[in-house]
Amino acid sequence: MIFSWKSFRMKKMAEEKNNQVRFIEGRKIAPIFILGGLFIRFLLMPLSTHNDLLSSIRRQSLFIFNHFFNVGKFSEVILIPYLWLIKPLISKLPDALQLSNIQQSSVSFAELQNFLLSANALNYLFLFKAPYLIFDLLFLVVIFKYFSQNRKTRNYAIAFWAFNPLILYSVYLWGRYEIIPISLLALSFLLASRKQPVLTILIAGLAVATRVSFILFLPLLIIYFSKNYKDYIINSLFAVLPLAIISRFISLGGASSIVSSASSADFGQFFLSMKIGNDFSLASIFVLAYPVLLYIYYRLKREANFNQLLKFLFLASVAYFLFGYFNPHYLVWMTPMLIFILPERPKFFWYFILLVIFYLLFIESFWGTAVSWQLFIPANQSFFLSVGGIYQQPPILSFGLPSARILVRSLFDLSLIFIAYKIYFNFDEKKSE
Amino acid sequence: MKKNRSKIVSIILAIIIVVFLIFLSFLPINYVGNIQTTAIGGREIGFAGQTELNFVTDRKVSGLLIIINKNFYIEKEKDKKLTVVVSFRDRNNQLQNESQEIPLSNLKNKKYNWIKFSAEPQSGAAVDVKFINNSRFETNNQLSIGIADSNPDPQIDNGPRVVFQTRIIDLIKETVSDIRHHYNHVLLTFFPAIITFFILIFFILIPKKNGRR
Repeated sequence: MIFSWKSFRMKKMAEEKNNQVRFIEGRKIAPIFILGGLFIRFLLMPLSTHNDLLSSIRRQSLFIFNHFFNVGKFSEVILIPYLWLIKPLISKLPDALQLSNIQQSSVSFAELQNFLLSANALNYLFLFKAPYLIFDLLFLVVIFKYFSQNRKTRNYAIAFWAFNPLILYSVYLWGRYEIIPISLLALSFLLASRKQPVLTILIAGLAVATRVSFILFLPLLIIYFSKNYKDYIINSLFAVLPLAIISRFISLGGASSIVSSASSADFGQFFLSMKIGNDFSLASIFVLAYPVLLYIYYRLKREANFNQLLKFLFLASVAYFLFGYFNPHYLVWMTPMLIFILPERPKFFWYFILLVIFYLLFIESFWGTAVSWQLFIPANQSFFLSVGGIYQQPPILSFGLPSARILVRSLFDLSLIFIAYKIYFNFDEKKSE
Repeated sequence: MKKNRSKIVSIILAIIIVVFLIFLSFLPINYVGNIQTTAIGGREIGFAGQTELNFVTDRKVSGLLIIINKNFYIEKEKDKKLTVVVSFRDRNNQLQNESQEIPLSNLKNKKYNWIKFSAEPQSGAAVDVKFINNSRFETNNQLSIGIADSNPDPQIDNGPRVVFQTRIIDLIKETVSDIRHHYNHVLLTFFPAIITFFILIFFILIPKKNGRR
């Protein structure tokens, strides 16, 4: 009796697995995933925002409408031509954002609420986020190119792109430009897998110019492609070239350059956040851990193995999120690595979902509803302003916010360590070779 | 035959899920929200005193969450009561008053206590909540309410919370109506989403050449 029950279950499981494989391998499933992903994006574009998006738009519009250049970020500079193109469609923007005050470069939450009173606010939000779609589609092209051999892994990767909560949250809910550096980084990884050192490092350097924190990934790429000291020097020069040229170009325009803002104390705090010791012996854990990681990679690098490189790039990002300070929309930085790793190991998707859940719980516990429910205020201002969020609901309210915050941060760290462990030990290095 | 059976089961499951979601969207739900207080009254109602707070909201309110700090011997004072009077102008501009007496023994010390009342205030009108302590304590006891910065428990983010009541279906209706009335060219804004949705449905529904999807 027991034996028959077992065999029945095994048969059922095999059947389910077959159905799942048939489903994911289907020719039709890729367009369904893509359309589903696009549908969610199109819905979120006008219905949510953060005042950060309007701050970027304000700086760009000051140049378009008032010829006042105060754009310090490359990612904002490259969107200026787009804003110039759609200028006839956003003719009421100077009133909605009160551009007459040229000294003001950021938009407060109260000003965001004021902007939402404008009758064109939803159209404007859609138009402001539209260029992100181009870079998002570049990401999709990278997936098609990299997974061209295996339809099953390609479909998993497309599903990961389409319904990726991190992309949807950072890019379409917040309206941040993170999709630009991450799609450039993904493109650079694709080139790395095809053993094109110069292009890889130049594109990665371009990604660094749009998001300076990505400098974290450059040393690993340089080690991957360098065989001798000469290679190290040449690759390092190629890596910093885009940043140096763009920074110089921006400072010529009169705004503070990327390099000078990156060398500020505020930027340093992102990496130096977690410390050990006290007073005289105070040391940053990230500064201790990161060189160790680089050294291990340097020692392990017997042959140029792309999957091994991916592992270490992922570990570098894990080190940053464990020991550094980050803003709520930063976790999306892991996507370029995960998009190459997870489709090979579909089981890891569950760990990723767990990671995202704890991450979202943590950011709401730390920054409050301003980074969660309030992002939807273009849809319904009165509701999303008054809703108290997860931590205001009993019994969590009685449990106490500080305790809840420590608990979810610990769970987030634990899930980060767990996924890093799983990827390090269970992700086959030679599979893609 | 087997294939047909599994198809029927999945259709029934889908129907059950849809019906459940519709049922859920019609259920009244309470959620804790933030309030913009126009004025906050006294912090302690001590011996035979009173304190009040008022806030403005145009949403349906189903109660308040407040922290009570009881510094007295509960057994001795368990029959004493706290009176809560809620007054507001309703949607028809009528003044509504609701008074209730809450036995002190019902209130949990240093925990959020839900004072239930129902209010649908007029937009822009304040909801006044008065806490009256008519109790005559036998010992030198005090009763304080966690309003604003009285801070009875530093571990808990302090201050009163309002419990709102709504239904998901009402929220959706409210959102759609807000978007339609406040913004221009709404159809144009959602045109890409609508088109994508229809293409998606088309892709899901068209059968494959060999009949299998």
